[in-house]
Amino acid sequence: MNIKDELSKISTNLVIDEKRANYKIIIDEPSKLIDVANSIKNLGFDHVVSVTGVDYPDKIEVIWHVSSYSSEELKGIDLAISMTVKKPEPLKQTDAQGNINVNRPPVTVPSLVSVWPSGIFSEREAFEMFGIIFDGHPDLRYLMLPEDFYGTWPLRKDFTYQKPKVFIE
Amino acid sequence: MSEKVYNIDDLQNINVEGEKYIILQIGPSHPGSGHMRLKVWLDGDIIVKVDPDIGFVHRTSEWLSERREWIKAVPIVERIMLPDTVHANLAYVLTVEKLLGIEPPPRAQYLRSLVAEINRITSHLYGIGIFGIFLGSSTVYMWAFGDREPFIDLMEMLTGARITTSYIIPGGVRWDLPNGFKERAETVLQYMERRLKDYEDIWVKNPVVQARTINVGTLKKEDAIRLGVVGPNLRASGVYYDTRKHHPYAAYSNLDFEVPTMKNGDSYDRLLIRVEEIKQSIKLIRQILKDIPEGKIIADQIYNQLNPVMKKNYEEKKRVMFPAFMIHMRPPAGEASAKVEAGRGEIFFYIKSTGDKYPYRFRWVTPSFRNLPYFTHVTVGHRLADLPTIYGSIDYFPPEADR
Amino acid sequence: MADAEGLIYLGNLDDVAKKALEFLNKSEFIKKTLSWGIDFSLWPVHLMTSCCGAEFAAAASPRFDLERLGFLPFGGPRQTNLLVVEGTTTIKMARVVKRVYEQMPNPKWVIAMGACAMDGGIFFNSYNTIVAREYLPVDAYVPGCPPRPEALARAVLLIQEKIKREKDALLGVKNEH
Repeated sequence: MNIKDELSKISTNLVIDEKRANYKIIIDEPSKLIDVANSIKNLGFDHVVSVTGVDYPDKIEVIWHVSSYSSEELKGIDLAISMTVKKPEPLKQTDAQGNINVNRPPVTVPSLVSVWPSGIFSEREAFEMFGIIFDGHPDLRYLMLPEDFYGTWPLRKDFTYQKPKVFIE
Repeated sequence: MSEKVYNIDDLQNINVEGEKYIILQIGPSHPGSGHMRLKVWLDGDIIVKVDPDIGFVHRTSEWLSERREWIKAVPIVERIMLPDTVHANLAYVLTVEKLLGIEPPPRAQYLRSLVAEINRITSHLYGIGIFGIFLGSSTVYMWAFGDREPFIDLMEMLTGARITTSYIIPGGVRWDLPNGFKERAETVLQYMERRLKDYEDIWVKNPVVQARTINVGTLKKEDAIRLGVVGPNLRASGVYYDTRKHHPYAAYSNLDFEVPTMKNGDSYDRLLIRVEEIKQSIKLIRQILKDIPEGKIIADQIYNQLNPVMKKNYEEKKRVMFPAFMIHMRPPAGEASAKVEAGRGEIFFYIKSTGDKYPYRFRWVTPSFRNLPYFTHVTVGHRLADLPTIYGSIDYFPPEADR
Repeated sequence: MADAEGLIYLGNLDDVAKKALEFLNKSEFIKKTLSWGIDFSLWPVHLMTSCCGAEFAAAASPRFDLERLGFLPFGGPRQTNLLVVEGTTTIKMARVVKRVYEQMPNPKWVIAMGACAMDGGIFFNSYNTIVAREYLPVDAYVPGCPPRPEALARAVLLIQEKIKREKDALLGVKNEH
């Protein structure tokens, strides 16, 4: 099985780094994501290593890194599925004290938990860190951060934080 | 133990509302190593659902590393995986080397494998000791932590620090083998081989241990693959996968070792596989010390950056001091990922560089985080008394999972 | 009336108890015995807030063996009188640490172990961490990242000296923090 040919059958947007055995499939339409994921899974990529985002000024790239345990040929290959979504404009609100609160709305992408259940915790992490709502995730809650950080999305580049003065009563 | 096999998709559909179930909060302060909270729904004393609440040790390593110079991320990733510092260090450095395009010389590769294997033994002994605490056997905790010390001494002899070594730098390692290291290592290895027999007699073959662990917390092969668990736990379920074999790094492609696998995937197998891996690591250390080639311990690209005082120091003491290059390092734009087999499993790094002073995106996944499905999946259907056994057997280290 | 009598009787007993406590507080022998007893039974609660816990565990293990100083880790906070903040505390964990501290019986002491617990250490500018002295009264600091087990032993000795020095305050001590 030639992995390069198989992958280029699935998607034409394939970035290959042969020296490092890294392959990256770039998905341009959200509706295609689950179909592409299913065909990748049928090739033998059976688990998700990491789900993460990369924050850019106007967009967020969501990356699923998948790998294989069951297929002897695919064990040494890293495959990334990347999808880029546009960020909505932040909403600025002025409250009664005159402070400006910047509300940064989350973005939405399809969830791949139905394809790879191993991504269930990683997708929750990406949700709290980047504000990526995974549509179709069965249990999308905050995983690590306490309630102080609801809606702040710490790993976005425009995250600013103020340590609250009173941590504990 | 009930025979019903739940899968993670069913778990979401279990209706746990109503008076039938008792909700038990275990933790965050509990005798384990590090803190997490388990919210457990119980039907009588049968576990119906477990919801792990992690993040008590979330130290924002990704956020911090994106705001530091490249080399300063090494101490951060080390402190996240304290029993396993060398592997975290190695995985990060491998990723940076891929970005920089530097290949370390063979002697440095062997030294990396050497210190990684010493660290793997200490990490497994740590895990076995904590498993002992969970089963209520403080003897094994005392033994394992006591026997960890000779190996930590070896690390100290080689690297100058007990645990947080920061030994591996882009392009090579920081110290050469000290005099008398081989003899000292041989003594320690012989001691450990003797001790492993004692462990087998008093702990592994102990009927109490066997009664509490055999057929407890079984994860079948196909489920282990589906849930994406890693490391010794994965191999205990019968999956032949080891990053050292399938993504060779350091000197592992030149070394001869076996990857032990088990069949059942229960808690007892997860204990046995750690003992087996200690044996393999002992074999590997002997082999490395025998085969280690002569030569430089730092790549030429880095060596040329050293100033004359540093070069003199390198020739006389075989010690690499940090050239200014390290702090002003700006890897070319691009992205790289690396995998390393740590004591608890596979570390995955994904770093994106924009050619700047700081990494643009610093992403890493630690083995304990990927072993989280054990709590939601494997514990279900067991009695509450089996929960500590399962927790202990997967060698879960919360500071590592929370990053 | 029986009720009224009972109240008077109890009130008297309260007075007697207070006087007895004052008498005992002044007795040098009692103070000495008490401080001697406490300083060799410093039982820390097992609360591994972060990575320094690995060295804490090494300190309790055979090579360093802090049990010879009466240092015996316990799982539950109710039997303990020493809290070792082992490294960084996150905001989520700090609330738990505070709660565990409140559950411990008086008199009690706190050791802040590691650079992170002292002043943030390597994680000083993280958004999610908090140093120990902001929410706990700390009695001894252990520098190091992570500190060697010997350094922890030194802190235990410091606490023992403090107990001997402040033996007057051991009885009837109130939680002021």
